Amino acid sequence: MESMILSIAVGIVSGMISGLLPGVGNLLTMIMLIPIISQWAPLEIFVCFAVLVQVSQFMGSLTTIFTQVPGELSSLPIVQELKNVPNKNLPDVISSTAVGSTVGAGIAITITLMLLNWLQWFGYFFRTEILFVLLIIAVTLVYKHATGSLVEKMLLGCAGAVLGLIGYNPVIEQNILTFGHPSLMSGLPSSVVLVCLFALPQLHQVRDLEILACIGKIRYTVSTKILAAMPLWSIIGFVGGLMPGLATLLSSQLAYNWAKAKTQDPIYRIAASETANNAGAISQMIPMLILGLPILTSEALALGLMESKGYMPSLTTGIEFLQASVVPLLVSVIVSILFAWPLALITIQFVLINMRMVRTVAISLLCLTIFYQAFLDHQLLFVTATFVVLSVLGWLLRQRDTTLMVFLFLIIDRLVEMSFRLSQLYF
Amino acid sequence: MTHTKKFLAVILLSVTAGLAMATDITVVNTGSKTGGIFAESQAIVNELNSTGKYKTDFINPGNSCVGMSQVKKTKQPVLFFWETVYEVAGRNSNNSDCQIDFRSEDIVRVDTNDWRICTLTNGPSQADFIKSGSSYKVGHSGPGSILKSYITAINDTFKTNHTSVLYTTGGGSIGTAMMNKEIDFAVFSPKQATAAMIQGAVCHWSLNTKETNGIPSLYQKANGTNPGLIGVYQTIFVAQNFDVATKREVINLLKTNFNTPGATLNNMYKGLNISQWDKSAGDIKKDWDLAIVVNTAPK
Repeated sequence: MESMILSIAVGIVSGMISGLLPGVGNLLTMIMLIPIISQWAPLEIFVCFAVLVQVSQFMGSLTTIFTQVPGELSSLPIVQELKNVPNKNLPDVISSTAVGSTVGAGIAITITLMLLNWLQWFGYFFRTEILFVLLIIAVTLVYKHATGSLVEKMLLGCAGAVLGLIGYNPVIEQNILTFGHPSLMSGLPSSVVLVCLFALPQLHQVRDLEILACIGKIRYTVSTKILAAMPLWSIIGFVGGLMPGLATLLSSQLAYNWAKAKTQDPIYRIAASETANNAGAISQMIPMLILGLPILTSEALALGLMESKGYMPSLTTGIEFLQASVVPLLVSVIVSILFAWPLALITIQFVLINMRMVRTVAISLLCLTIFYQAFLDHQLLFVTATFVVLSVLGWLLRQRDTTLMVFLFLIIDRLVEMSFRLSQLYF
Repeated sequence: MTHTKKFLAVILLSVTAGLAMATDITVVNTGSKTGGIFAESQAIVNELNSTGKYKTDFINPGNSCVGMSQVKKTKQPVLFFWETVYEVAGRNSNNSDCQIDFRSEDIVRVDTNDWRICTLTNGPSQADFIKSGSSYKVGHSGPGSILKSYITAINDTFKTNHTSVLYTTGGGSIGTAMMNKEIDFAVFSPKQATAAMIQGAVCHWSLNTKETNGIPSLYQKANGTNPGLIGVYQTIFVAQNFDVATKREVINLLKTNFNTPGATLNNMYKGLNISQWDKSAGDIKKDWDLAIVVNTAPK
C-alpha cells in the first residue's frame, strides 16, 4: 500500500514537472526517474508512468495557456486558437480545458473498464490498413485547416516531409541526406524542429501576452454546448490515442479539426483538443500492457523497465494492471483538476508579475532542456548546429502556418513504412 | 545579442562541468534510446552504482554509430554492447566510426541469437510452413534485405511461395500483426519469441544450424544443403581499457546478477540460454566472423 502511494506521489510530482516545464516531456522525465523507479515492482512502475502521463496533460495545457509556448505537440491547438480568444473570455478557456481534461480522462477510464473483456480484439485495430487510413485522414484534416495558399501549404508540407526523411531509412536501408554524418542517421531531433519551426513562428504571431493580466478570477461555469460535445471528443481521443507514434497528438488533432469544421468558437475548439488528448493519454496504455506494443518512446522505456522487473505483456496481466491503476488514475485526475482549475489563479498570480519574463523563462527552459539533454548524449555540437540552421528557417517562416510542415515531419517515416508494407501485403 | 551571450555561457558552463567530473567507468548505449540494449546498459549502470564502489557515466546517444565513436574517444574503462547488424551497416557505409576495433580479449560475453519462425498456437502447423506450394505472409523486422533473403532461401529450398512483410517498429508490432491475422508467421529473435509465446504463439522452426531450445533447425531439415537458411547474429558485450583486477571484479559482479534468479539481468534473459561468458578467444573471433558473413550479402 505504501509503495503504491509512493508511486502515485512520484507520478503526480513528475507529471507536474513534465507538464509545467515546456520541453521537458514525458520521455525525459522517465529517463530522469530511472534511478528511482527501476528498483520498483512492475505495477508500481506502470502506475507511476500512467499517473505521470495524465498529470502532464493537465499541467501542459495550463502552461500553454499562460505562456503560449507549446510544451508538446498536442498543445498546438491551444497556441493556434488563443490568438482568437477575447481577453474577457480567457477564464472560460481555463475552465473548459480543465473540465474537458477531466471528462476525457473519466470517459476513457470508463470505456477501458467496459471493454476489459474484449481487449484481446484491440489487436485488430492495429492492422496496417486501418492505421494507414487513420493517418491519411489526420493529414487531410491538418492540411484542410492549415492557413495559407494551396501552393504554400504544398511547399511547406513537402519541406516537412523532406526534413522528416533525413536519416537512416530502414525500409530502403539507405541514409537519406545525412552527408556521411553519423548523428544525422537518427534524423533531426524532433524537439529542435518543434521549437524552431513551430514555436518560433507561432510566438512571432501571438498577441502581446500582457492581456493575460485580464484574468481577474477563475470562472466555475462551462458552456452546455461544450459539455454536451465532450463525450464525443473523448471517444475520438480514445481512438486517436491508439495510433503508434502519435497517440495524444492525433487525439487532439482529430478532435480539434472536427470542432473546427463545426464552429468558429475558439474555446469550443480548444476544449475539443484538450478533452481528446486526455482520453488518448488513457487509451495509449492499452496496447503496451496487452500486446507489448509501446505507442510512444516514453512507453517503450516504461515497458522496458517493467519487463526488466519480470513483467510480460499479456491479456491477463494487462487487465490486472489496468484494473489496479483505476484508483491511482482517478486520484491523479482529482489532484490535477484542483491545480488546473481552482488553484490556477494562484499560479497566475506568479505568472502575472511579468508575462514577458515568464515567456522568456519558458522558452529558455525549453532550450536549456534540449541543450542539456544534448550535452548528456554527447551531441551538443550536432544539436547546436541543427538549432542554428532550423532557427534561421523558422525566422524565414515566421509569417506562415507551419502546422502541416511539423505534422508531416513527424509522420512521414511511418507513412513510408506503412505504404511499403501495404504493397508487400497486397501486391 | 544578450540572449545569445547567455545561451553561449550556459553551453560553456555545461561543457566545463562535464569535463570536471571524473568517472571510473563509462557505459555506452549503442542501441536505440528505448530498446533492449538500452535497458540492459541502464541496468548495468544501476548495478555498478548500487555497489557504491564505482562512479558510472552513462552515454546514451541512441545511435550505434555515435555510440561507437564515443567508445573510441573514451580512454577510461568502458562497457558496451555491439551487434553483428551494426557492424555490417558500418562496413557497408565504409564508416570507421561505425565499426568495432575487434579484440577477442575485450569480449566478456557473447549472445548468439537465432531467428525463429513462429505462429499462433491455432495457426498453420510446422509441416504446413514447408509444404511445397504453400503460401503464407511472413512478418519480420530489419534489416529487411537480410531477413527477406531467409524467406527467399526457404522458398527456393522447400518450393514454397511465402511473402516477406517488413515491420521496422519492433517485435511488438510483428507480434500484434500475427495476432490480428495480418501475417501468418513471424520471424522473431529469441527474446521476442519468448514474449510472443506468453501471448499464445508457438515457434515451429529455427534458423540456427542445429536444434535450439527444442525448436528444430530448417537448415538441418534441408540436410545442410542451403547455407542461406542460416540466420544467426551475435551480440557481444565488451569491456575495454580495464586493468585486469578491475575487469575481473566488474565482470564477476555482472555475471552474478545475470545468474541470480529474480535479479534484473537474470529477468532479461530468463530461459533464453543464448549467452556465453567464458568463450575462448579463438571461438569468439571465428563465430563473429561467421556471423558477419551470414549477415552481409543477401543469399
